Amino acid sequence: MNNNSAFKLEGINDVYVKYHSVLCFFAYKVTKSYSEAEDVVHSVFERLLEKGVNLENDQALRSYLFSAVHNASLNYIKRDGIKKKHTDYTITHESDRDDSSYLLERMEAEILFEVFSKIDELPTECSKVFKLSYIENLSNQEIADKLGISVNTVKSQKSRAKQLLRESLKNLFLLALYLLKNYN
Amino acid sequence: MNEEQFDRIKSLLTKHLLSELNEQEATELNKWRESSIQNEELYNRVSSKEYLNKRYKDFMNVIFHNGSSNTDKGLFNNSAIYMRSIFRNRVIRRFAAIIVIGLVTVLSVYQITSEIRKKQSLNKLDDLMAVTLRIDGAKAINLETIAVNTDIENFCTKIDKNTLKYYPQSKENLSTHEINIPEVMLYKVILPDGSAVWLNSKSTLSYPASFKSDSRTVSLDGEGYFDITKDISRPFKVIVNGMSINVTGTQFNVKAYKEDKNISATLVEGKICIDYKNKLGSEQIYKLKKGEQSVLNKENGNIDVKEVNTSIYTSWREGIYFFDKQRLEDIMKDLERWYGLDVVFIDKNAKNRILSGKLNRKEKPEELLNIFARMMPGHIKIEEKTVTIY
Repeated sequence: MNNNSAFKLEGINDVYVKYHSVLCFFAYKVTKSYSEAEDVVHSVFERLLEKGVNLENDQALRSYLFSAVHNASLNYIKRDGIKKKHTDYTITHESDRDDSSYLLERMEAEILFEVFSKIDELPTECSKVFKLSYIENLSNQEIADKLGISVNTVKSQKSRAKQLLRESLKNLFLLALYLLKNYN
Repeated sequence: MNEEQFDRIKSLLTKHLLSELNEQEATELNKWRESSIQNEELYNRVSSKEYLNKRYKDFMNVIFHNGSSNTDKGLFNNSAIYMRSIFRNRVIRRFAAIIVIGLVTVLSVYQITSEIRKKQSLNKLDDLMAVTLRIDGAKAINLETIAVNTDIENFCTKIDKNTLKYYPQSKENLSTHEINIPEVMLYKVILPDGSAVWLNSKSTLSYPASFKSDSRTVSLDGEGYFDITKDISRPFKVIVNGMSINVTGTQFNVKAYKEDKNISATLVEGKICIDYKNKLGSEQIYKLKKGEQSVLNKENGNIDVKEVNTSIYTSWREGIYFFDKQRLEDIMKDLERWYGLDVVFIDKNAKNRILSGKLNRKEKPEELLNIFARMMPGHIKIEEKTVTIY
């Protein structure tokens, strides 16, 4: 035990804080149980500490974490007795556990986690209206009735939400523009 | 799919989710959809409100379990989440064990008298920083300069570096003794009746050289753990700042620093009775049961009694500092006393951050504060003995 392990722990702490929630969200889809998802994610962090993966290359680290969590989650549902409960997942995914299906699952988790987090970060009223519209799929009138506000307020909160989300997801959107330029 | 393509499609899909795609981008995304059934499936999933609704519930579930509403995304806050999870998650428990074991192994040779003491003696008068004994208000005796087993005015002797033991006195002697423990130090006093008192940093205990035949009374400013010898004919009483604690044979901890807002008494064994007189002269009496803690708020005079895990409040004797869901300001007050630090809060809100954890006093203060610095990157600055939280 020395500075080296302390250094590693410091790095792990940051990585843990950054990725813990999104990885749990990712694992949850497979395990269907929060505590199992958390266990899976923790077992991955445990291995990360033992193996001493390079924490500096964020892209590689991200790939490593998602793929390790994916494998560990699938191993979890493969265990006896658990399988039946999860047939909907296993049928579609275990048949072809190739790279691309894993990548698409990961993409879905990253996108939804990012968007949901940003929606949650909106100002309360704005977030409420947007969730009812976007996630619950209610009409403006229904939202107005439900929250006891006018339809016009609903409309303005929705456009404000859109504006704020555009702003907070800017980095992700800019990435698209930048790459587009490169392609052309 | 390489990383670049991955990010590209991810970005397009996110835009699609918020209906932000332009025509060119929509065409590109459609092309991607057509290239595989799995792609099309993903597109359909994230386009389905029903699916989003379901996954949003999963998301809330995960966030809820992580103990955060995700609305506060400061690093500091995340550190607090991390700290809370220390106790909940087995892996992190293992990490914490590694930290503790590691540091204990490496730093167990740490002695208070070494480096820090040297540093302090440069800044402050030796006597101010030493454990001292004052008899009847006379000149203070620096106990650190006295060798082990040397008799001190026929009253007591040092039985080891950090323990002062009084002899049982054959007759009453009411000369008042006052032992003063400075910052950083821990000390143990064995009173003439055999009762032992562990004193935490920055504490003062006064007591007679021998107790009266019908009572034993001491007064305390600071924190002490008492292990009282049973003697029903001579009840033991601890006086702290407006409150008295009446005791028969029992073990308890009292934390009563003048500068702190609260006075707390934690009963480990036996029975004690808390007697509090407020400024207006009205009196409140509480009988504590084993495992209970009373906390007196000095500002409003309220006393709150609850059951606690007593080891959290008494482990300081072994050099372990527990804080369980405590305010950062209160944690820092203790660390100030332990290490002779000055803590400055620039961000007043940070005072109310709630943290849990366990620290080992054997660590050098620098090491320990580095742990805090890691937990709140960008929010804590440490220069010499001054800690700034902003």
